[in-house]
Amino acid sequence: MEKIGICAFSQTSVESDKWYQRFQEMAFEVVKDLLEQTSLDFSDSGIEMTISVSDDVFDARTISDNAMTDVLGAHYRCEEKVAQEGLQAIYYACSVINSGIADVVMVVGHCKESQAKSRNMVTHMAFDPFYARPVGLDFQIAAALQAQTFLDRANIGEDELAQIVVRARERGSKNVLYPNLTPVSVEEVIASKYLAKPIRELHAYPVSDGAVGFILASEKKAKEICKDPVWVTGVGCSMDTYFPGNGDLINLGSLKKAVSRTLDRANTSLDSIDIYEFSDQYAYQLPLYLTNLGFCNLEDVSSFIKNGGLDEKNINLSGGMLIGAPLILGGLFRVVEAIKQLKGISENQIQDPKTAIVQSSMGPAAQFNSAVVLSRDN
Amino acid sequence: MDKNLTVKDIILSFKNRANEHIIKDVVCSLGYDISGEMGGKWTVKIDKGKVIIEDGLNDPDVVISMNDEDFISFTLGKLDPVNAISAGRLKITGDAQIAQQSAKFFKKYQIDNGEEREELVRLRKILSIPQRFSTGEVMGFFLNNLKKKKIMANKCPKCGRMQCPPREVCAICKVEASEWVEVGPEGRLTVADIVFYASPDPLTGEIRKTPYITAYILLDGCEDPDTFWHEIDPDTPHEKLKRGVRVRPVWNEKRTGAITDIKYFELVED
Repeated sequence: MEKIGICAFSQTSVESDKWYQRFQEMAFEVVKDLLEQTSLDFSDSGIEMTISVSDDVFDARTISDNAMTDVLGAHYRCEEKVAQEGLQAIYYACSVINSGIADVVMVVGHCKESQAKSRNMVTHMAFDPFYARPVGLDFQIAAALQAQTFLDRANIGEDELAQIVVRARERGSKNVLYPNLTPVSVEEVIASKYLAKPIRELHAYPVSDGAVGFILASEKKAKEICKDPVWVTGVGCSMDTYFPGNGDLINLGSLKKAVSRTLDRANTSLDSIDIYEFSDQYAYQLPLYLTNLGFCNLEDVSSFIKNGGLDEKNINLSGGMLIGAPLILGGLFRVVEAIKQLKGISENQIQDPKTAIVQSSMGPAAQFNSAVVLSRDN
Repeated sequence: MDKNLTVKDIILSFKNRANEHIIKDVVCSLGYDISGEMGGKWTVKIDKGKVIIEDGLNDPDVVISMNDEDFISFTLGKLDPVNAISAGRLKITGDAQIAQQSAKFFKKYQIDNGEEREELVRLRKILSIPQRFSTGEVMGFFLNNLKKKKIMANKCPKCGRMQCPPREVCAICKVEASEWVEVGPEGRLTVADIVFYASPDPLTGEIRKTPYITAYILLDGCEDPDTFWHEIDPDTPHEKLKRGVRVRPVWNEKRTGAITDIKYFELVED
C-alpha cells in the first residue's frame, strides 16, 4: 500500500471516572489539540473527512456518531463511523486516502466505560440472546475461559502473570496521562481477588474513560502539514468465529492472519520491527499473543517472561493496555505510544526505534484482530 | 392467499375458535356484512360461553362491514384493522367497543393445510444497562441555572447565534461557544405538536399521560432557528397553539437541575 502520514496525535488523560466531562467534551479536547498542532481547519483545503470511533451500547445511544458531529467539526461535512475496534479507523482512513477520496482525514475515538454500571453488562450484549446471554457470557468471562485454557496448556503461572502486571504498571505510572495508575507488587497482584478464575482484579485493564485522535494525510500532504510525519505502511485485520467455543481458544488464527497481512502490506517481517505494542486487556493475553506470533512457545513462555524477554524485544514498552484504555480504543492508544517511541518522546524511551507494529483485538476471546505497521524517516 | 378459503368457512369456524374462559360471562352479538362474490350476512351470537351462528343480520349489537378479500386478509392477520378503518375498508356500525373486545373472544384462525407446524420459540427479554450520564461543563452549567429559574444560552463568538439549549460548539462556525447569556424566560411558539402515544420510560416503565403537547419555542433573546424544545401545558385548547403566540415557563416547586425543572410552558393570555 501507499504509505499514509500521521501528522498529529492527541489523547486525553485516561481515568477510571471522568465524571466532570460528557463524552463530547472528551472528544472536543482532542479535536482542539489536533487543530492547534496542525493549523488545519474544517474547510475543503483542510480536514476533508472525519472518522469517529464509538459504540452505541457504551454511549447508550443508537447511531452514536450522530451525537458527535458538532464537536467533530462534521456539520455539513463528511463523517464516517467505526463501531469495531478503533484501529479499524486507521485502516479506514488509509483506504479513503489511498482511493483518492480525501487527502486529509481526522480520526477521533471516545468511550466512557464508567458510564455504564458495568462494562461487562455492555459486552454481555455483544452475545446472542438465545445461546450465550442466558448462560452468562461476557467478554471477560470468554477471556477467563481462554486464560484457563492457556494456563492449562502453557508453562506459565501466577508468578509470570503478576510479573507482567507489575511491569506494565511501573511503566504506565511514568505517564502523567494515567493519573489513577499506581505501581503494584507481585504479592498484591497474586492477592487481588478473582473476577473470573483465573483472571484476578489486577490482571484486568482498569475501567477507562478517554478520547484519542489523529490527523492522517497522503504522503505529499503530510509533508506539507508537518515536518516529521510517522508513516502507516501497513494495515490488516482478520475475524474469527462469533462462537468462541468453536475455535481453538489459544490458537489465534485471526491474530496471526491480521499480523501477517499487515506485515505483507508493509513489505516487512515481524523480526525486522523495532517495537511492539499489543492490546493486552488481561495479563494472560500478552504471553498468549507472543506464543501465537512465535516470540516463544508454550514450553518456554515462562522463561521468556522471567528472563526479561519483554524488555529485550521491546514489547509493550508503554505498559500496554494493562495501563488503561477504553475497550474499543485499545489499539488507538497503543498507536499513540508507538508514535511517541518513534519520535523519541516516550516516558519509556528506547534508543532510536524506526518501526513499530500495533495490534488490537475485540470481541470475545480476541475474536477480531487488527494491526498497523508504523515507521519514520531516517 | 389460500384460494380454497371462503368467508363462510371463517364465519363457521368462530364456533370452534371460541376462547371459552373469556366468553363464559359474555352476552352479545356480532354482525358480519361481507360484500363481494363470497360475501353474505351472518350474526354470531355469544351467550355465556356458547357461540351460535345465524344467517342474516338479526339485530346484532355491532355490524362489521368489509369486502370478502379484506375479511380473509384481516382474519389471517395480513390486514391491520386500524389501518383498514382509516382507509375506509373496514366499517364498524353500532357498539364499537364490542367489536374491539371480540378480538379476544376467538383464537386466531389457523389454515389447515394438513401439516403440523412446529412451534418456534420466541424470547421476551428486557435489555437494560443502568447508566450514569455526565453533563459536563456546558450542560451542567445550564442545568444548574434551571434550579435558579434561569435559562442560559451560549453565544457563538463568530456568528453571534444564541444556542439554547447550549452546546460546546457552534456547529456551523465550528468554534467553541463560551459566552453565557440569560435568555427568556418568555418566548414565542414556533411549532407545536399534539402527541397521542407515549413511549414508556425505559428504566421505570412509567408511561406519561397522553395526549401531550411538544413544542419548539423561540425564547426572547434567541433568533430563529435556535429554538428551545419543551412542552406546552397539556390542557391548552389546541386551537390556541398558533405559531407566534407568547408563552412563559411554569417552574416546578422542587428543582433538581433537570430539563423538567420547567414543568411546561403556558400561553401568555393578553
